[in-house]
Amino acid sequence: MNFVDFIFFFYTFIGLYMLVLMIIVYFPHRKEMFFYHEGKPEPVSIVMPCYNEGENIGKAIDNLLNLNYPKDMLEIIIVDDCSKDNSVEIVKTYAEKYENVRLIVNKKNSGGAAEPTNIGIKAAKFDYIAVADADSYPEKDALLKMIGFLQKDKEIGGVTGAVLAKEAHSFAQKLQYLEYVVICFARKLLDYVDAVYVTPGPFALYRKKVLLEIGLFDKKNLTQDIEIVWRMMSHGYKARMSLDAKIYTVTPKTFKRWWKQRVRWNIGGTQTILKYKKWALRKNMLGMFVIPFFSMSLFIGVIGIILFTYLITRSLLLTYFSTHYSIVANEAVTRLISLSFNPTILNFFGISLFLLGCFYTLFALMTMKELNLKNINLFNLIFFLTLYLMIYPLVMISSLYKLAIKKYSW
Amino acid sequence: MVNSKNAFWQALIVTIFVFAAGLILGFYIELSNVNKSDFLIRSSEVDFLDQQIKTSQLSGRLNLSCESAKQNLFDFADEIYAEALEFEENSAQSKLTEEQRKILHKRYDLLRVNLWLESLELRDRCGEDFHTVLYFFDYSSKDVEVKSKQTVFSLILMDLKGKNSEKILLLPIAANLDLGSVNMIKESYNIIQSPSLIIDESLVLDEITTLEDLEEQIFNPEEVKKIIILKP
Repeated sequence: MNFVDFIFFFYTFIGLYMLVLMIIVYFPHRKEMFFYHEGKPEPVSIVMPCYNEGENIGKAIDNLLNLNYPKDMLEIIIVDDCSKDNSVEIVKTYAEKYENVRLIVNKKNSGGAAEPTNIGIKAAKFDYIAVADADSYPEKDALLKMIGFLQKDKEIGGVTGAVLAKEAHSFAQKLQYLEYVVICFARKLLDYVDAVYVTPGPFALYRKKVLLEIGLFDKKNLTQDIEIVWRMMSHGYKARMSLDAKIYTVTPKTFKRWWKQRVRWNIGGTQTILKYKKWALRKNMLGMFVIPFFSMSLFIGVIGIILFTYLITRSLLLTYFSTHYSIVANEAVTRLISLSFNPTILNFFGISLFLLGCFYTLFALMTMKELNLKNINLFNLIFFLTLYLMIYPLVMISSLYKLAIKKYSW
Repeated sequence: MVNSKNAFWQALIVTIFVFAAGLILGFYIELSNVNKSDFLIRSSEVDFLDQQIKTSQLSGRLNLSCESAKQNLFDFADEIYAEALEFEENSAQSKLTEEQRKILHKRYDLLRVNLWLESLELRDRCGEDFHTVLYFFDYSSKDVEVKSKQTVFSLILMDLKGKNSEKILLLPIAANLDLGSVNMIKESYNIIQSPSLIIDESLVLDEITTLEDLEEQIFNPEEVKKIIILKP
């Protein structure tokens, strides 16, 4: 067995392990996936950072105002980060009309979401803080379905919901629609082993006391929503997920924008791994699972792309030389007689794992009851399961490069 | 909540079990190829002894006609070629029989060397009724350029043999398996690279050429004043 075969077996083992873990966690909890603790409404401050969100901010505020929640227990704080469009004017009209809508204008653009969020948290009146994106739309009862988790257990520092794609018009958005559904399913399963590692920016609920204790959001991190949870975990707190609390977010329409977003996510993820590397293998979920899991994903992605590049380059060179010599010799290189397929143990493993992955994806879609046939057709599904996921290592390489040369921004 | 530690350990145990089951299943699938190759190894041993006897004893003492002797030679060459091809196809992707493949390949190479020696004796006895083409190649070459050159060479020789099956004794021999007899031939003909051809013990070719030019080299060597080589 050569080195490439060994790598292949290693990848197969890891993939199989994650799949088996998901199955083991799923079965005892399959009837309670959408369970949430019934909480009683308590005052919540919703903080929404805003930068050039003139197109979305009005609809976002309307959505928050229509939440199924007592209006006197809700304050909405929009923190503008020196927008250059008409975001401030739009928010002002809401602030003038609604008592519970406040506008704070940051004096200087911070270049990210963390600083305006922190400003909003410090200005907040209430003990529960929800952080929302300006292009996200929580369902009416999302807040009610999340607050119970914080009220039930004092060790819980933050709660997230099921972040789903709002619209799926373009091809890129349809793929992201599938992706978000599968991610939600997986994240809920991780919830059952205390391994929720992120409270995504679109909408998350926190205890203000915990945020202040651990030091609010990291302004230097491009994925402050991941970093805050890792910090919580390092302080002994946990994050939970309410799968029934749906939050719809606008996803990038084009692959170019998608690429930019994913590179940012990967840079932020890598920043977070590097920041918490000393916690690796410590006896808590952060050290024993979250950090190794993230690090392994990074390692596997990078090694995978290097290996793939090597194999494809070799194959191309072989094809080039064979074609070259065959032209010289006036001999056809490809003949039917030479086309044969002898499946090996590696093929068997690879195909089995791919089929299991397909099954897992379909199962996630069925469990989440997100079988919207407008967004899911066979072509989209096959593209998602093959080419879409294969792009990720390239995103990783790009993000590592940008991180290394320190050329990145929100 | 599921006990976190238990879930991770349970998953690890189940994964090891499933993985091992997959490996064992794969092993049993491969075992059938191993059994086939075992049979071929034993069969080739018998062939090797048979060939040795024929070369050293029978051709002189028994009054075999040149035609019979030549037919016997060609049939045997075709037989080991077919056997070797069958073995290659069955075990091409096998990861568990690499060493056995090498041993069997060496056996076939030695058989072909022996066949070549027999062909020399036959031509001495019966005159030059056929042509021999020794094809030296690198077994399991990792070099991309050598591999692609060998691919094209193999196809040309396959066509050559197909067109002239009764006139050409084609003997492919791996040049890099460190067989003493093969190394002696290489030294004798100054073969320093693979792939290379030795045509009728007198002409060495190591550059890609067309089938037509190769046939000219083989069948009309006197008329060709110089080797026509189309350099890539």
